[in-house]
Amino acid sequence: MKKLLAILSIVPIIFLSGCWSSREINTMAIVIGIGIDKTESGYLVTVQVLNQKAIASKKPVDEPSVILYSEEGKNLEEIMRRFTTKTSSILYNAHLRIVVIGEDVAKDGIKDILDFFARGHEFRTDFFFVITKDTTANRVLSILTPFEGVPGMKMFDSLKNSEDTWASTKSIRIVELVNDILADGKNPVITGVEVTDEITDNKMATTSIDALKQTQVTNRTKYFGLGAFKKDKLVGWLDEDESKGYNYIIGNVKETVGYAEYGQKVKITYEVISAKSEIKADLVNGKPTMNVKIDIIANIGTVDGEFDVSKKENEKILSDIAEKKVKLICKKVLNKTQKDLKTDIFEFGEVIHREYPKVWEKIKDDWNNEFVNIPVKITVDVKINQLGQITKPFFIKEKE
Amino acid sequence: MEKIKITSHQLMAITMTYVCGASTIIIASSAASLAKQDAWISAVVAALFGLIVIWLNTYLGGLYPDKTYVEVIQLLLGKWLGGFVVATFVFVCIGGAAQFVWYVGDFFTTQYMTETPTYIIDVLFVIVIVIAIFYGLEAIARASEIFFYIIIAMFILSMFLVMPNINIDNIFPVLEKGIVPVLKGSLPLLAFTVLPLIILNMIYPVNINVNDIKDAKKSMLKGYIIGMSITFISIVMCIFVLGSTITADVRYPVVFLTKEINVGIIFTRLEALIVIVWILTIFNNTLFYFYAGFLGLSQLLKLKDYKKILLPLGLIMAVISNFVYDSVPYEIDWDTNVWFPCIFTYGLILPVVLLIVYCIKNIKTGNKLNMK
Repeated sequence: MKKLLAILSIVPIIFLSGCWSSREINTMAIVIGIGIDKTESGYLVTVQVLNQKAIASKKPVDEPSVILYSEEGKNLEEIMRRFTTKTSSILYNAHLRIVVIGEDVAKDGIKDILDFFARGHEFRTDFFFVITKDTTANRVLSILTPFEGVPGMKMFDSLKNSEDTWASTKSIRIVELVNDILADGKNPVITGVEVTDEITDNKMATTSIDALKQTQVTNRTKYFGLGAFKKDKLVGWLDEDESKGYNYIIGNVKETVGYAEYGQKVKITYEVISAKSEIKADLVNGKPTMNVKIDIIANIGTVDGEFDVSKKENEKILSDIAEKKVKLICKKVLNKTQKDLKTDIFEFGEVIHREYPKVWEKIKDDWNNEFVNIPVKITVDVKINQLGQITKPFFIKEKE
Repeated sequence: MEKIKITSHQLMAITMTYVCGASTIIIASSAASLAKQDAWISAVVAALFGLIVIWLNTYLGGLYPDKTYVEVIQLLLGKWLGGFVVATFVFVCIGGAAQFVWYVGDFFTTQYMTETPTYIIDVLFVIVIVIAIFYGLEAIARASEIFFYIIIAMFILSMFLVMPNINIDNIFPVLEKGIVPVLKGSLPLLAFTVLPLIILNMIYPVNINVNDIKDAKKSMLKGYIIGMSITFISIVMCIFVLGSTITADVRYPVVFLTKEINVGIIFTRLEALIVIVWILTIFNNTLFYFYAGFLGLSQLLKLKDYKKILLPLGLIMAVISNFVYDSVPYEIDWDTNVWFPCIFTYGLILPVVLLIVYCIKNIKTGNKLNMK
């Protein structure tokens, strides 16, 4: 009798313990991207859900790989639940890759959105935030992409790759974003995404989706540059060059390409293979000034014009013109943020906070005004490393 | 009274898991909310203070090598006062154990299984604890020895993998607001890792071979130092990776921290590692609270077959665990405002009082001897 009782109580524990709150994979709607737009009544949320039928099937299916749902409502939690009135299964958010925030929403502040993403237990911390430029999040998420079938994944990968190799974007995750907003001497930037029209050969578009086939003009999503925030509100945009300058200053450039001109005819392209920056604060008469030191190692990419890059005496010229160019880009973005946007996205305030806590205590309340007038000295040091597969350009006339 | 003896290595494993205990994934939050980016200094302060506590505890235990803490209290404070103090001590132990059970239930319902009633998780957890105690201290000690290696391996692995996300700037400026917030920040650490060490006096030194007592002291200290370094590392990493404000505002900062792990394409979504660590440590923690309460009660009532009250007491704990905290704000308020004075009384004031009483008694008897 005792044994029977024991068996009767142990067997259910073993076999049923995982059944509470269990969810089978075919009952989940896996959310890859979430877009948030502003409407009169609150938010319009668009979710990009994986179409399991199109992704998992072995035979080609004439269906898009993702399905879009959108829903309107006052706050995000409420909207996310209301999706169940439209979808067959409950949304599952742990595989979220990208959150697209509409420009209007970003201008009004994103604090409540961040709270929502940090509080919900299903959300992880490994997705990126982007904001739209001149378009809505709904539009961005609705664009199907060839090659990588899931648009949300494409945006995620593209953001990482462009940050690593082109340096005009910055991938930002929730922890960094929240910290940037919280810190007194720092403001966040979020990469902007826009929708472009591209003329494509319709025979080349190999996806079987009708929408892609029929139109001559294909819409693509493209990362535009960085949106500068003041606390949690979007205040302006940096274009490609300025975004690169920003990444140079904060030391976020991994690899990039840039060109510099020497005289009228010579144009040299550099491959930056490593860039480091060091931001230091100094006190001059009790007032803080910033010193930014950027160290770049670059290879020669292409040489356009009559200029022998292999000569020792030209090495100095090569690095000089590159230094000037980088300095110019950095000055440009500094000017824009100090004069125009008036927001400290470079963490200068935090540098002062770390190095001179007492000075910071005095200026921290008025930091936004202080930042506008703070002198910044930029020194760039470029070291030319390699020349590529050839030394002297082929098309250069030997001087007798 | 069972005559089970444990080895000093087992004692080290027990102390280590016990010190990490409930705190591994929660404590960084309360420390950072008080000390901001200097919470790691708080951990050092608490660890140093803990050395005094651990010396006090082992000294007190060494006075009566064949008696548990509860028996020592009764011996020194007399039948009635001692009995009263023991009764409250038992109450604190059982209550504390119920609180930990609540933590486990709360963790799983906020993080993973939102629809499952907490009660089910609590009951499952309590069942395991009751079974463990039913098997006796020897089984527990051996299990702790295994846990010890699992915990160390998993913890080091997860901390190692999160290292690429470190942002060293997060801990500067050091001592921005002076030393006071740092000391304040060490209070929750004391309350959850250091002061509860007194409960281990229920097994030390009764369950140690008499010849091993010196060795046992050392291994207890060793276990304590390893446990505190784990706490310290978890706090430092939280501040390095998450920053002090996020650490302070997240409920389970170390789980949040390990969610950040993103090495290559392979090493992602590894927070379960730290959850395993935490389940093992909080299991040991709850176990010893419950063991202390249960043994204390049976010794107070002078029961012969003490395992008879195990099942009823387990049931009581399972029930209490369901309503021990009303809600999360209540829990936060309790942990900061009530638990600290409570454990301070039992973990520091009471041992000191006992030592004083012991000295007075000794002087008296010593005098008598001299007179004779």
